[in-house]
Amino acid sequence: MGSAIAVLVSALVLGSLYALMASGLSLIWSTLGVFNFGHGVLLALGAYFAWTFADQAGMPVVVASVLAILVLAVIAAGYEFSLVRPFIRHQNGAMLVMVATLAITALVQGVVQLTWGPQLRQIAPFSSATVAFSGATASGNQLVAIVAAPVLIGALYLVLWFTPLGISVRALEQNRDHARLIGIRPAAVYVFVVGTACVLAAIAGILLGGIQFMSPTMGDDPLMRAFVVLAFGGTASLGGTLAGAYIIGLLEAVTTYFFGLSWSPVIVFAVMIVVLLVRPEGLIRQRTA
Amino acid sequence: MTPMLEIEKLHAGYGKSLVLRGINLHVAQGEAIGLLGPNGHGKTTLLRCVSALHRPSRGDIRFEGTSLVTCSTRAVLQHGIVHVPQGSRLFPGLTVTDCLRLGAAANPRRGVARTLLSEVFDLFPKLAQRRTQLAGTLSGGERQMLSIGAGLMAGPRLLILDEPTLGLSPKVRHELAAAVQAMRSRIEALIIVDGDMDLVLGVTDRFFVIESGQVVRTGESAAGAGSDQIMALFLGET
Ligand SMILES: Nc1ncnc2c1ncn2[C@@H]1O[C@H](COP(=O)(O)OP(=O)(O)O)[C@@H](O)[C@H]1O
Ligand SMILES: [Mg+2]
Repeated sequence: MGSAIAVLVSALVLGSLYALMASGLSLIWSTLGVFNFGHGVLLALGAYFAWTFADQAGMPVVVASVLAILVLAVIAAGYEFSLVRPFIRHQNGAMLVMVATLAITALVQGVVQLTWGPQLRQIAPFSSATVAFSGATASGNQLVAIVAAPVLIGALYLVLWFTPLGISVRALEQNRDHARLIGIRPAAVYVFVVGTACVLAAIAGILLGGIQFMSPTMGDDPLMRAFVVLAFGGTASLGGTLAGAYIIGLLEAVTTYFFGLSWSPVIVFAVMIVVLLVRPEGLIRQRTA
Repeated sequence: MTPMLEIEKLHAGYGKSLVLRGINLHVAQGEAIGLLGPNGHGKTTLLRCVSALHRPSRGDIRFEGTSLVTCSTRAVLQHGIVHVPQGSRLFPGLTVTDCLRLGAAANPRRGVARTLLSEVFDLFPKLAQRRTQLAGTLSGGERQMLSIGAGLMAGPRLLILDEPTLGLSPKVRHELAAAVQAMRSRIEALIIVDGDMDLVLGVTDRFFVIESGQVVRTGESAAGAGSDQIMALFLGET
């Protein structure tokens, strides 16, 4: 019983991290037609800034986290301005942007390594309290992660469906030319989309940095998994993304428990290939044709 | 008096293929013009140049004396030029009301959305019945009404309709023609492209026949109606 709950907690934490990453990635994918390779380093930057504000500047973790999220929002504006805007209007713009995000990944990983050094660091936990349940324990950070992801993604859903800005994001996704003809500015939508995705990645990084040791490449694995989530859940709906994220999280937690850390990714990817062979449209039916 | 819209020696194309080869055309304040001509000869490309969805390679487009060729699509819209595109499927995942409200997003007159919405629903009662339905579930005719309705929400001074009756039944075509007549008094100028020549000549003052990216003939719509020669040009049997 205890180990079943431990696996479940771990599945929910992983699912939450992947959901935060995948929802931002899918937002960028569906509006810009771009896979953002830089998403992993954005996660790492979120973690490193939060660590710096908490550990070096001595701020309370919550304050440090909020500050780190704000820093990442500013970085997002720069990211959009320098990596997306100059390239996206070209004929093969999506490809150029992807190359740019790949390049920035290598660059930022180097800068993080030089700035923060190779030492293993961890962000202080939000709360040292743990919750024990039938012989298993969940840390405060794990609980925050489990709650934060669905709440944030729920909020994103409300914005996309019920605010003028969100509706114009969806309009641009669904019909670019007609959206432009009724006055929607793609550039404004891109800023919003990239900003939101960066903030969600930063939050994933802050949560992850409190659970495991940080490294410049700490975002690589979550990025890979989030990519799988997109294939699994489809990019058409946040519900699909959320479901895909928890399915992958559960699969990973269960396989790690039974087969160990090194076999788990092999099995997850093997299952993914089988699923995509059987259902190339993804596990979850796409909402719009 | 300078015309409302002037198009001068306009050239445009896709990659190496030149589609527009020196179009000259003007629309006066208060005028409705029709563009006729066989398919694939550049009518849509011309309209996309006007609304800055496509960049011309040479020539000029002026609206009340101001050149539009370096404007963004949104800036063109804010001049009051509203382009209802050919065969748009709109935003399949948005409701009819959301599509219409979005149409008013760039309307320079703030707070008119509510009034305009009820005007559009008066003009197209079918849309009012389907206001909570997703655009993707509408019939072809309803979708066209929604496209035009969303255009009206932007507060057009010059309205551009590209093939509004393409693929529609005669009954729906008549409904749309009646709607175009009804809104004629509320907009300052109109450009309409349509395969239904009687409709075009019926609602316009002048017509231009475009062939191979050039204006090959122009005249008064009233005189053109029923003309076999226009019909022949229109069908491309020159
Ligand atoms: N996006 C495009 N890319 C390449 N060629 C195009 C594109 N759109 C239209 N064309 C070509 O330009 C020509 C004119 O098309 P169009 O302006 O749509 O004509 P019309 O509206 O008169 O039917 C056609 O030969 C068409 O094949
Ligand atoms: Mg056309």
